[in-house]
Amino acid sequence: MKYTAILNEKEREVEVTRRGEHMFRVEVDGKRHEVDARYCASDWLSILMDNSSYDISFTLDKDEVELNFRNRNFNIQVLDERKMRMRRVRSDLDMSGPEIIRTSMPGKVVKVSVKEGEQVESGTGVIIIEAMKMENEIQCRNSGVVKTVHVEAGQTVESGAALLEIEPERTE
Amino acid sequence: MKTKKIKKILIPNRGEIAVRIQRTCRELNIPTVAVFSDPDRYALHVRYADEAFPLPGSLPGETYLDQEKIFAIAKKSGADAIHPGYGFLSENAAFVRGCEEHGIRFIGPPAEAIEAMGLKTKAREIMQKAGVPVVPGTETIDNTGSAQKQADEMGYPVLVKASAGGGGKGMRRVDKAADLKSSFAACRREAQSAFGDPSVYIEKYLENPRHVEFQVLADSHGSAIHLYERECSVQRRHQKIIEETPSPVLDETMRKKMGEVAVEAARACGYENAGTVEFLVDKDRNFYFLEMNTRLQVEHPITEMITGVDLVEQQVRIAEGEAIAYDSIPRRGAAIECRIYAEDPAHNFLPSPGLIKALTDPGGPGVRNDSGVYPGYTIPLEYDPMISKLVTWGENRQQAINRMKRALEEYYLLGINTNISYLRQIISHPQFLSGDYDTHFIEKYRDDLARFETNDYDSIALAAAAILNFVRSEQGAECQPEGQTQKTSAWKLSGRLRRMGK
Repeated sequence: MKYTAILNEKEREVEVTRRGEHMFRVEVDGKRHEVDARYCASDWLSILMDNSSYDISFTLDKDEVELNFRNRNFNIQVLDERKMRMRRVRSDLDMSGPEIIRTSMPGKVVKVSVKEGEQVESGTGVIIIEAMKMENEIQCRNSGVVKTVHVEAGQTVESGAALLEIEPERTE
Repeated sequence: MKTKKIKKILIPNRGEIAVRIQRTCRELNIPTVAVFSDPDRYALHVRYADEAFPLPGSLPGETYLDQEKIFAIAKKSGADAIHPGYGFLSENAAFVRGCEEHGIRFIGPPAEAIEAMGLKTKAREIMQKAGVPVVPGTETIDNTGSAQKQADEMGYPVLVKASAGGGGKGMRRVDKAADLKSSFAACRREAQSAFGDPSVYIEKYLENPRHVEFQVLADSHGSAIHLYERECSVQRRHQKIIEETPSPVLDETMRKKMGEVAVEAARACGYENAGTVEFLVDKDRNFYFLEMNTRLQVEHPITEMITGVDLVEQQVRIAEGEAIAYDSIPRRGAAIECRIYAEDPAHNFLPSPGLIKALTDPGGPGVRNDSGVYPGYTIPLEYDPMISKLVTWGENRQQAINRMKRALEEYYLLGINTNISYLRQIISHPQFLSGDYDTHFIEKYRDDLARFETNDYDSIALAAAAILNFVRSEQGAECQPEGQTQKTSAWKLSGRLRRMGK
């Protein structure tokens, strides 16, 4: 089975072939590995990749895989060919849409500095989020007009939540 | 003075330190009473406690700092002593007096010692009188002219500091005479708004100092001893992140001298219970009294590791009126502590609260992990990002460091970001390994420390992620109408049969 795996916004080609009850052949970017993979618990995978041993803690939610081993966190999106095609279509549509501003830190909205309909320059601080006694100001990447504000002060937001949308300026 | 056993201890604190204290209490067979704010119902200290009472609300002022609520709970639960931990009410003299009024023993120093050490100019005065070396500096100054004159005489750079300050707040460095006036005024404003007291004084700025502190214990019979030093120079934004003992900068002569001075400092302010005397050590290895922390420190476990003494137990014994059982305490080996924070070092150390999806604590020889979290726990937004303190012991510094590297690698935390990889960078850095580092270490080597390995494990992660998807899609295929029943529901089927008695 061929997959496109997205790690740090980079697309990587990965192919998995079953070779036995626990054995797999995996090609990552064309490089071939022999892998012995076993589930030690529902969230725990032990793999021997070309005989190197890795103990990997994981969660698997739809296409999102979250891994932790050797003190590193990995968030990987794994898409088969059909899902990859759907994604391409969708991202083509997104390109023309408004900029969606999200928070990478969960927290409490301290202040929304802009209103719907307001003109903003790129780099404008639009929202302040606070967590664990630290404030973080979120800025918009593009200049444009604030189209929708999804949150208000006092509200708690999850990581990745959409905060507001900005309609980019039309450049001729 | 007669000793009187404590029957039940209330701990108005949360997180790892509350659990740490509960553990010793359990060993001493003393029941504990926990308190918890609204966001903390699921916290480990509530699960671990013998009894737990709610402090309705989520702001510190209405929960862990609300003295009246806490005294009411002490009364209701029958607690006859309070251990404050660190932070919150631990250095609040009014709270200590409140305990006395309510007939509750405060496991910590007398109110007078807290007050004396809380005001920096007062503390300096007491120490100078006792012959303890202090950083050259002035008394409280209230007019600009006098400030300018005294700073000019001292020579720049100088520090303008709030008399009531602490924890790195209310402090300004001034490099030249022309900047003094504005900094003096600004510092007074800051001091007023942060501490409600505009008093400031001026101190000589020490270039590249090391931060070395001594643990002391003093009882109500007039005995005081020290339990050696802790080196705390690895700091980020004035917050300690790694501590070790012994300090690589001290030799036996200096250790003996500083230890004696620390004990003298404790005596000078009429100290009782566990405390810490902080020193700055300059590049010529002169040492100066900085301040005294009148509480159990975050980093106390490294002292416990090299001495074998349980400091919380000693605190309880002293509060019960017992005399310290030792004249001096031998030490063995070296210990190091890393503070594990829920923050993202790759993104400017942004806090990373949230659900811990999976967690495996490190173990093995010489490892101690004082943690306040568990798998399935959601780290709340409201509090400090410290989730645990990982401590290792070794026969010598090198072994302690090797074990720390190994233990950090064993630490699995899924769902949130942590500073674990950053801590590994620090303890692998040649300058740290050499032992020759000061409080500017993190700043000076910022670029080195930010250089995270990025590609090493990418292909392993990608392979694992693809296999997980592959196996799931195979299982999905098995669940299609044909060929499903045997494999997926054999367990269910046998369970059903068993229940039916077949």
